[in-house]
Amino acid sequence: MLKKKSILSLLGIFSFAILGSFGPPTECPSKDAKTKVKTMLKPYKYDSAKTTRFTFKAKSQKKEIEVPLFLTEKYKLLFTVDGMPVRPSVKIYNKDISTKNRELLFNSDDHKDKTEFEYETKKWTRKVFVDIEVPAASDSLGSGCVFFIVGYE
Amino acid sequence: MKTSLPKFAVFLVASAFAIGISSCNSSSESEDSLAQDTTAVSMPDELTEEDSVSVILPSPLQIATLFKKSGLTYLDGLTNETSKASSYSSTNKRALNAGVYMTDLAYCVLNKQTQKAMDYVKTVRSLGAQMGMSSVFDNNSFVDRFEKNINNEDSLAYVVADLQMETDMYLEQNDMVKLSPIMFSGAWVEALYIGTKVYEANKEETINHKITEQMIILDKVISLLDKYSGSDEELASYTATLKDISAYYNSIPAVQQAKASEEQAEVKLSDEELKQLSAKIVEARKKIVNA
Repeated sequence: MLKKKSILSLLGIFSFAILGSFGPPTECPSKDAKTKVKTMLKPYKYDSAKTTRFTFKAKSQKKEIEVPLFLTEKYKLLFTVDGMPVRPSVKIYNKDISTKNRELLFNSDDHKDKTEFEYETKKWTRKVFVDIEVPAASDSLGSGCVFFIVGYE
Repeated sequence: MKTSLPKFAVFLVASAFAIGISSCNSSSESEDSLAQDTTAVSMPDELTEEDSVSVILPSPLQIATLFKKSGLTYLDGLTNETSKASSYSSTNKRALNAGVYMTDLAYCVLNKQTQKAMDYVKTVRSLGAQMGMSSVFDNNSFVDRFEKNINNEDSLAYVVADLQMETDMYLEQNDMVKLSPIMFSGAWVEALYIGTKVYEANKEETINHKITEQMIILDKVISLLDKYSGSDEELASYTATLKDISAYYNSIPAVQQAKASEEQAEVKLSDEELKQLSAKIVEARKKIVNA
């Protein structure tokens, strides 16, 4: 009886451990990753931030975020892909996805050695569009996120 | 039958280890995959979900800074009284007025009204606590940091920017993102209210340009509020007031011309147009600040 109880307790502990390992992360990206980009933002002042979450699927995914800007200001966009188990592609365009011949302003594929990267806007820009592309991946990877922060000069 | 449980248990324990090990492996593979070449991977040409387009909104401090740079001076009596804070009883009202007070705080900081700014910090903290956000202040010692930097305008601006950042992150982490556009719209209306009132007083042309520049954000705010209004009649009624402002602004010939040309040129409104716009902003603000 005692043996049975011990086994059941052991089972309980392992079930908890297994379920815990597949549960959603409490904070994505990690506090450390956020702190790192917050530090990198200076001397720019914080303006806004966005966490975009992805649940991995057998097919690739794309999301677009519009970032309105004010004409006379200069901005810095700082990204971290630390919360992504599969590397995404972050591209910044001058116009949205429905516009043909839009201009590619930034491509994270040019910075493959980094998990944090930045883009500085030029003055007289009204808005930019951040496209985040995630390749097809095993759903066993669960979910991840891309975090970016916008600062103004 | 007696032996089946231990065997089953051994199998489960072994499976747990196997899954655990495989999970460890997949995380190390994941780290490796961050450095892998993804150029060969096919990416979608279109957005993959209906809800795949989103917009982020600027901070009240940045809007106040833009107005300040354009010559916005301090006029006493324009900001919302801190004593009203305790009369806001619904979550929408609290969020809207937290935004209003954030703009008032920024306006006071940028114009060296330090004691008033301190009062607004305390009021924002109090409203935040009523919305369950005490930890934003308590974990970051904002009131202490504010007091320590009270005589340094630049440092205070960084403290206010940090406060906005921690608030935004708290809302996102705690499934309270609905409150973000509500708070922002309160901040936006207050900034436009102050901007139009100061313009009426000094006719500074650059402020005129800043007011029209801010109008570009309005439609984004309305679409976000529409998304969250649902059966919330209080929020829907407030959003209707903003739609009225947008409809009037978009009916102005100079605005229509600028939109048609797709140029980056700044729009300048006539005094009469600004007067009418200002009246609509005053009406929206009344809906927010009156309990």
